[in-house]
Amino acid sequence: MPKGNAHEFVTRALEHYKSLTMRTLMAYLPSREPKRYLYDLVPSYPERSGKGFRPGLCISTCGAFGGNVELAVNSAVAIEIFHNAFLIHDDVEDGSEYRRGKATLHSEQGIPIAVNVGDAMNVLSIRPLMENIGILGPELTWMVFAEIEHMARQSVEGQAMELGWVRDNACDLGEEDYLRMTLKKTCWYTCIHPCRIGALIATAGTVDPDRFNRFGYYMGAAFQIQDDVLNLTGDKKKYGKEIGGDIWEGKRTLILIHLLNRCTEDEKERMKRFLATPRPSRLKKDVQWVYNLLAKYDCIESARHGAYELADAAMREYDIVYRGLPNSDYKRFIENVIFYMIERNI
Amino acid sequence: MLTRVTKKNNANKAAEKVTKGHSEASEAGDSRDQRQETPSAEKTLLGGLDAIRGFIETTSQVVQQATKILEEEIGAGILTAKQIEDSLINVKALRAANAESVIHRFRKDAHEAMDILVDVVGSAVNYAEKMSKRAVSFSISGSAEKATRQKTARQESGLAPYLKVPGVLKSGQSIQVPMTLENGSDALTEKLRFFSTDLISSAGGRIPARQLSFKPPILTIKPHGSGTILVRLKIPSGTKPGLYSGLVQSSQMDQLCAVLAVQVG
Repeated sequence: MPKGNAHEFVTRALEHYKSLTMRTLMAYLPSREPKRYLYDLVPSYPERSGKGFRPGLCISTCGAFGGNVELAVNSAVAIEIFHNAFLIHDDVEDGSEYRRGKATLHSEQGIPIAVNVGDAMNVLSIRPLMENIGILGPELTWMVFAEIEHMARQSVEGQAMELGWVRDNACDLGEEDYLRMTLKKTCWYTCIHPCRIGALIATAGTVDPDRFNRFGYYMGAAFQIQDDVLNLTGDKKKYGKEIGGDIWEGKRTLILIHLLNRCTEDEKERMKRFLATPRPSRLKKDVQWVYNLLAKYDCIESARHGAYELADAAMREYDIVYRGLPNSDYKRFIENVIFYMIERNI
Repeated sequence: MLTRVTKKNNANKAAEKVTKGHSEASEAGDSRDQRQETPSAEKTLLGGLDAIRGFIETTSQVVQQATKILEEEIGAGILTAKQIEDSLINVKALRAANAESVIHRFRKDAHEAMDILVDVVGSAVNYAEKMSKRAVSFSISGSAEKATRQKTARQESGLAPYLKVPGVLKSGQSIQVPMTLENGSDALTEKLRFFSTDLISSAGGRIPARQLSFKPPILTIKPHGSGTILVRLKIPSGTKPGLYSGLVQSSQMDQLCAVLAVQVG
């Protein structure tokens, strides 16, 4: 099959899974006061042009394992609401200005309102999980709860690591630190748990969910590194965020960590001073200087190669994890989404 | 200390390999599913060692590092989960027939926001274990302010304990189901009188509320005590088969309600 078709297939499948999720998600949003300050703002992020990887992986894994995908929709909705709550808070914490091509919620509505909307979404993500009891029965509902609890805890722990590094101006980090932080901040909730939950639902809890850990981790790490690359090199219109935002924010990406480990002592001292400067006081010329250093030490390219190596490892794990399952569009989607994630420009 | 992800040559090789892999996958579609397992995947000790050696030789450093980190994190996660279980939940007891005391303890220990989740567990346990002796059990816990907050949470969540009468009843049959209530507060409850809605089935069948009665008609529960009422139900002659359900509610505390369901065969 030509590459273009695989790309189109994944795009169409993502749209399908997203529409399936959004229909149910919107039904869970309350229509009552206070609308202006809360409930009218809740759909803001979910309605934006997100890719919908997480519900897509959950639903497609359920389908690939022969389950009724309708049974996985509530859990996919919960993951998606949680994800959007996380993004709202993440944007506040990072001081980001754009998300998915529009102003961030706190830029539009102010930080207090945005933080409260994020809190509300965390609460709203509980309801579809509660509704699972009538659909999945008590034991499976409890299993999914346990998955979500682990997912949420890992995410906030990973986020804490990243925020702490920025606050304390950590400059002696290695690749291992980054990989651990990414596992916790991104991989559990972007890839590992959506797959685990989908398979648990499909098999009524009989599958060993740990079989998805490596697959999801490699894919999630590749996804995150590609996201970091796009942040520095992407097209703002397609990527939907400010290009170079991670440098302005001083985020400890793999790219920045490579740079801190490859540059000279003098360059590192200047990097430390740059990173210690509060974001509003950073100068465009200094950001450009960092860009030049990244090019000098080939940091973006090596991170990109790391992403490909992880994607390759994910593909090998795919062969193990999904081997033996009947061929289906669900399985085809999962196979092709691995490289879609790192070849995307959005 | 940093380990560089790849040397350029290796990276190019990896990129080629990936491109090739992707191309194969795209061109062959699902044909990779028909591939034979490699010998290294055989379940022999030697095969296992070969697999590990092969993994180290062929896998890039970034993937090896990632694998090591994953193993460490999973190990740490299992330990943490065990510690939390030990401090909060007695899993053996939870799996045993009477899980009420465990749920009660969890309810006390957990953060108030978790109460909503605990309600799910409580009803789940009731449902799963088909508790025949006590059809419904829930507590009236905390101060008046807390009770009000819990009421709001329950009402907004739409969650009520699910009481399924054991077995399948026949038209004309009568049954008595004991319902136990716990008062977790420091105050005597008001005089509680219970009512029921009609029980209806998905096919439109109806068992009128007058076919249900409660004995004693009025119940008062001491602080931290419990009380039992008998729910008496008579299935009218001519009732069509199906699952009938309705709401049982108290007169004084409207958060005290339960879904009553009965299967008529």
